[in-house]
Amino acid sequence: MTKNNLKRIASCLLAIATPCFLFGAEADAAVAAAPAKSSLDINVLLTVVTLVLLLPLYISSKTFVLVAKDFAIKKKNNLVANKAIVLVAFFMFVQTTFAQATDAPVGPRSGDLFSSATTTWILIAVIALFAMLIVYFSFLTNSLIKQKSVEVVRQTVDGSNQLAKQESSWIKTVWDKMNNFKPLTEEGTIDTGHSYDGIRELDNITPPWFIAGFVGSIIFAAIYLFTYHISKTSPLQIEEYNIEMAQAEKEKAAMLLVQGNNVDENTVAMLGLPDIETGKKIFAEKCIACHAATGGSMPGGVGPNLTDEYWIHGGSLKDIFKTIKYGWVEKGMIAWKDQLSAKQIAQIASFIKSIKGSHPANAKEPQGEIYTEETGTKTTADSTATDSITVKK
Amino acid sequence: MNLDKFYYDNKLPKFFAIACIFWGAVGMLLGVIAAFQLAFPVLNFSEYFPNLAFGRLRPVHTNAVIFAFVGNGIFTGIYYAIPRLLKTPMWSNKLGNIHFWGWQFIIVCAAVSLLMGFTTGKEYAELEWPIDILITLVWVVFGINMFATIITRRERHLYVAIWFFIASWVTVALLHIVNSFEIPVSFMKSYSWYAGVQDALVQWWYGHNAVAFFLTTPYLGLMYYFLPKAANRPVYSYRLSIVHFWSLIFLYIWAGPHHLLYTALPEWAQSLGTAFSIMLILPSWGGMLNGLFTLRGAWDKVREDPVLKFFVVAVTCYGMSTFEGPMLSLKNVNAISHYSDWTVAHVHIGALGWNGFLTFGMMYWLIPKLFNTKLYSTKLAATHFWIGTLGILLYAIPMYWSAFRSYFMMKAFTPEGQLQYQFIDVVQTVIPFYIMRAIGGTIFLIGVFIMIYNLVKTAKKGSFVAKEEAEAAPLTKEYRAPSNSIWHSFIERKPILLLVLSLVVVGIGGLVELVPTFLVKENIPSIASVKPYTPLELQGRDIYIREGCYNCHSQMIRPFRYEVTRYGEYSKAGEFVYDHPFQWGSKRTGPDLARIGGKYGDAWHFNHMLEPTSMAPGSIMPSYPSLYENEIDRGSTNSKIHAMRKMGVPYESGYESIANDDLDKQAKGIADRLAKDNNIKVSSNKEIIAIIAYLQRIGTDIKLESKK
Repeated sequence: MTKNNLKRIASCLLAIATPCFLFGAEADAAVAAAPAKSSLDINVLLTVVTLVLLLPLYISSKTFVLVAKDFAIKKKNNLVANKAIVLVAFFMFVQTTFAQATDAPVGPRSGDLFSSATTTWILIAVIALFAMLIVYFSFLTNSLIKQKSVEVVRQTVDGSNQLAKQESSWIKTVWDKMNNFKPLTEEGTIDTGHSYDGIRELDNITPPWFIAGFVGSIIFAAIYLFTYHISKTSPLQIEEYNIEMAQAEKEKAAMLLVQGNNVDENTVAMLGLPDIETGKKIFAEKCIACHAATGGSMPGGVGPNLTDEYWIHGGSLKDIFKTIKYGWVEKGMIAWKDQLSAKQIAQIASFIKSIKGSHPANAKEPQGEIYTEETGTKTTADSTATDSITVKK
Repeated sequence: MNLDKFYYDNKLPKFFAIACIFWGAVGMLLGVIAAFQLAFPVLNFSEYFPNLAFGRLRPVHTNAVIFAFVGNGIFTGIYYAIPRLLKTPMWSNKLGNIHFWGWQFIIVCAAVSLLMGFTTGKEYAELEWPIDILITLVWVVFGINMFATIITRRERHLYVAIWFFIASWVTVALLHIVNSFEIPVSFMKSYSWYAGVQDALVQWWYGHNAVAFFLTTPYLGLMYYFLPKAANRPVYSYRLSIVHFWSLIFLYIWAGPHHLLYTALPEWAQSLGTAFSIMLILPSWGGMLNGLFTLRGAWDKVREDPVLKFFVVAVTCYGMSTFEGPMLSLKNVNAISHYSDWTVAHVHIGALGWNGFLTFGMMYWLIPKLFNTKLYSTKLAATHFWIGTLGILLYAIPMYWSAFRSYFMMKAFTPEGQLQYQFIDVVQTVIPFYIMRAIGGTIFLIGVFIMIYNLVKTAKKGSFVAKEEAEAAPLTKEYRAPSNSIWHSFIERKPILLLVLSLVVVGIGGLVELVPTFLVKENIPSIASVKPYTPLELQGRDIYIREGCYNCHSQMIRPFRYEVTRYGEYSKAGEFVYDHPFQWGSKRTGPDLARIGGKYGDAWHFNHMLEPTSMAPGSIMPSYPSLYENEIDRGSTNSKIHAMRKMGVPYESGYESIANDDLDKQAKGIADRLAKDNNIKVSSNKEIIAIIAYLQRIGTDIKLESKK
């Protein structure tokens, strides 16, 4: 026992001392490495790790206190417990002051919280400290519990020896504590006396976290309903949709401005061979179901023949571009503007222009009117049509 | 004291157990076939068996697993446990037999009628009105038998398992009656009494609570009997039982609208669904805790006993899905999961894990008891356990994966603002996951066959105990509760009070959500341009329902950028006022169809229904050659129009008599256009014409509004 205590005090001292050493060492190192590299990502990451570690740290210290208290009560010996509690209090104190100490110098030294190498090292130190503390608390808790189970074994002499051994794992003890379990040996005291076809019922109390969780979920539900329907601070679905669309519109406009992908049916021009090849590929992917691979459709095919001189909705490059973009939905041609970029539509339109007069075998009979390139008479009709479509949209 | 001597009947539990296992194997086999059909559409065998296409098979699978497998599982447990918990035989063997054979008859009728295409088109309530009536009758027979047994009991207080049975019985009755309100058009054809948004709300109030009061609460009752029995440990906490029983049945009923988040359902109802789902986590977990904590001090037995192993995984799966469920009802999570494979994974964790494993555990415990012997092979049972667990994992993980992949693909935009992937790209991506899922399901099914072998061997080894002798003292008239008994024990002595209280408690949530949606007009803003369907479209719609298109296609576009860009303007409540029944769907294996009208030409649909891959290469949709042979059922037009008008659809009076003229005119128009524009020769009286008419109509009314 004395050996244990010695060990405990030694490791305790070590635990307190190490971060101080570390901190000092790192500070020195940081000063030495003068031109601090900007390492934003790693610092953010480390901060997150630090924050995440706070939870297990808190839990392990709390568990330690609980176990220590329990140990003291069970043994009717306040001495050890008091020692332990004092230790814990001391730790917490050191911890908080240390945290403040680390926070304080960061601001003035670097100006930006997440930009100096010093911060990196400080964070690493804090993480190391946290990790050590967690390990230490767990170790301490474990040793306390071990002692306890030894005591139990001694007290119960024989018979229930196995039971005592079973309880020796500290995880299990924490679990039992969390659920407020009664030891199995005391089960008789909470028997309700019910027996249904031999099924007995105990009257264990409902686990405290269950009640807390239930109350928590009710509070959550109340807040949820309040923010959506009474204070109306959270956006309802249509509002949310409008926000999303506005944001998308903004991004799209910015993108088009930068990219120069701003081709439309009025500005489209015939593209060169590489683009026609790309257009051919897209055509093979999206269009052949209705127009066949050759572009000539087939007898009884869904779409018209695109290789002859006959056109239903105009055969100029601009007309074709427009047809692809907005479609002629009442005739079965779908609008592609949400699935293909303007550039891709121009590529397909150029490809279609390029296969004119290719006379593929087994093509569909002509539909629409003969279109000849030179008649520029259609342009006026086009622009009005475009306008009406835009309005419709 | 005089002890009464009486006998427990083991015959009905045995019958129900056999039926449960048999239908379980059938239902799961159908599920495996359906799963393979999704990956390999050729397995629909459309050319030869139009009745076996996915759209018809899936409802048979879901109905078989829920009502045949789990249903018979519930009855097995109830007919075994109730007499023993109440120290009295079942009140009437005759009613028990009617219940048993009636229920099996319903199952056969259901399977046959669904494959023949008789369906109401409402998920998990697909059965047509004559079968609905049969179900009601058999359910009442079961109820009478159960309550008469309870009333003639020799045990003063009701055990928690029986509370759950009572609440389940009364709530299922309520759900079934309210949701099955339909107006018969002919024998085996009816229209839901409700339309559109209201129909959706009632349907998911039902759908969600079928999960609650058919798959969950009765099984909790079974758990409360079989788990402590098998573990030989006292139930962990009596007061936890009380808390979680009442909170569970009160809260569960509210949560239905979480199946309709971001739809056209009024948002206050959606929010109630979410809020109550979150509050439901802990009450659901109460059952898991009471189950797992009951095993305290028996964990060494769990390592040895396959029965307990099955129970532990079942209860754990229950805990997982009752946590996942509330998470899925959070708006932002639901945005990902709704219409996706995530939901499929979620229900299968529940169905395979919770219902499946609890049933298996119960059977491994019960069959040796019924045959007065030991289990034939504990080793085989352990093998079944591991194979089953592996099956569940192989099923669920690919589905989660596929859900996330398809979500990210669906919502991906190019910087220029175009959708990055077409729907078909997503379909192609998830096919490997469909295959893996089908393999997972197959493995699970193999486990079931191992169990069947093991149980048959067990039965052969032993000899059946048809009657078990027991004795107990009858209840005395006067009873004074001991001074330390808590208030709740009063309710436990009064079964009818318990029944009424349960009904009141579940009634509240239903009333608060349903009544305002029906009575307050602002909940469904009307749109002037929305008109009733033409006779041809109505016929087409009935074909759409008959073929079960709603199993793969939704008709409800949510207000998200990626959905509006892909499918069109988001759906509005007023668009569905003439939809008896609603067809919003719950899964998008295929694209949404809410704005399909006018998107493609008639010829596109004509070719697509005959051979989907011709118009959409890579499609996994079955083909429908029979639509090109069957003729439109013109004889039913009259009664259909009549029934619709009865429910308030504004057809002029007397329109019935001329409806077929309009139908012919519209059909001829479509056929003529196909002939003229696309050189397609088709007779105008074929079903394909009707379905094209319906598809071209869906979601177009609102466009007329914006044109004005």
